[in-house]
Amino acid sequence: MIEVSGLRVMFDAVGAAVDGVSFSVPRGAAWALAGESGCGKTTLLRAVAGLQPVSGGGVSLAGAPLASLGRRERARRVQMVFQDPYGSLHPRRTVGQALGEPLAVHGFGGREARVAEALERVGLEPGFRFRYPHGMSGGQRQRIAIARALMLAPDILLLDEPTAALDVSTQAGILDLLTRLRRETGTTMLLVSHNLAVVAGFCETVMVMRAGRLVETAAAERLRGGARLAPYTRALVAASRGDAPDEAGGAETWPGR
Amino acid sequence: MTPPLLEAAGLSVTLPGPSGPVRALDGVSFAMGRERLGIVGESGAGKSTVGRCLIGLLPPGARMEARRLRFGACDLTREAAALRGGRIGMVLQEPRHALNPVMRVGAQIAETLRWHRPMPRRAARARGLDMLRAVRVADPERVWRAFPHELSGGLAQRAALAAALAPGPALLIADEPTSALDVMAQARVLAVIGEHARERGMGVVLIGHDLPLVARFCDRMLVMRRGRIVEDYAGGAPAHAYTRHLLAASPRLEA
Repeated sequence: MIEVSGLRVMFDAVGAAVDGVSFSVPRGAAWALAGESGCGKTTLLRAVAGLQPVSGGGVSLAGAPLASLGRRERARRVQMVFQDPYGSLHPRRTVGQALGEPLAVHGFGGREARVAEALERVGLEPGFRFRYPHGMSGGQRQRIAIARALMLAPDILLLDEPTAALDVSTQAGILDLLTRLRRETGTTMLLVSHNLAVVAGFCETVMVMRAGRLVETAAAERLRGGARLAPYTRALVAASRGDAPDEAGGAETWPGR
Repeated sequence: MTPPLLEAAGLSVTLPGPSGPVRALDGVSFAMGRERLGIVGESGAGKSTVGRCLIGLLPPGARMEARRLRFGACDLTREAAALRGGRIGMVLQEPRHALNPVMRVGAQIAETLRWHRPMPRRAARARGLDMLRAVRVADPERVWRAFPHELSGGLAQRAALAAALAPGPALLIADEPTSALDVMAQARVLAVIGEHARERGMGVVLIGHDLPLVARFCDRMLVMRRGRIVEDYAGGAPAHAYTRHLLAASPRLEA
């Protein structure tokens, strides 16, 4: 469903933020991209969403090269949920307007009913359609952002640290919701996180990234089981458990290195 | 018996809210020695408000009452602001807000030091560079000359930590010091705080929402909900259902 081959993204100041990455996520699967801040995981996700110009290689979604898709077609196939639910919703639009907009742009009818259904799907009361983002909790806002991303029934949902701004019990609720939505809709999901404990419960396969390259692609259960893993993956597993990483975890990186 | 490092009894705080005053803390009592004490709970539980009482940084309009709020022999209800930054250090969630964006990191560490311990510039620089080494900054000279925006989040947080630890506080209040960091940077920052606490015999109050993470670091913790302490938890089977809920909510990587 998501085919990435030899993808490169260059930034002037940094050099290659994504440096020759290839992978293929099957239809209906949930995969994760994990790594430290600055490893290029978010840049890679943005490239898959078509939000990031690439310098080499390519991305195909359901067999069609991303570059060949117009903006509307791209929006139908791939949607993204961002880390900060405070920043991704328009503060002066009601929830109903936010959820209705993609439907209007793409010419769907029966909007009222679809908005009500979308709210129900993410576990919110129908009354939320009249509310504004500022009166809601972080978890409720993230539910709205997920509902909006699913309005057009995309094939692919990209999630950039969707729970990093939430406290742990809210996080558990959002991860449960995503698991249920995947079962119900069969949407292919690719989630970015620095915390392997978060992704291991939700994804089947975890790709570990470091300095723009894929270090390892492993089945999620291998992370729990203490199976043989690359040294860097082991350091990330230790840190995700709250232990100090041994220095296979690497020295400090400055931006630009 | 020596008095505890920190003692709070009947600590209550009322904060102004959009629809009238809100009871943020409701009769919180605890005491601690030179140990690592965690305060955990969800957003809005009042855990940060406890930290703010200890450093005298409640928001305008807040009303605090306490039968007792003492740090050693000092009465924190009157002297918190004077102790802040010197004998009571603090690190906050977002290092980029704690550091002055238009001032080099070294100048900020030196200023903190000289404010609390008057000393020549040269001595402050030497001690500050030692502190950066103590928080395991690989290239202290370079970080000393850098502006905060030139540092990664983890490095900026350790620079802020170096500034907080430089005057040699007896107590460090760390309010979600690792929430904005990735797991690797998180582990490094906590390791540095733990090492420093052990070597200097410093007390640490670690405030956080991730119970297993705080539990791994602390000797015991206060579990808070709606402005009250529901349990003083030191590992093992939790007595309170809310503690169990927090424990279960956190994703684990155990086999």
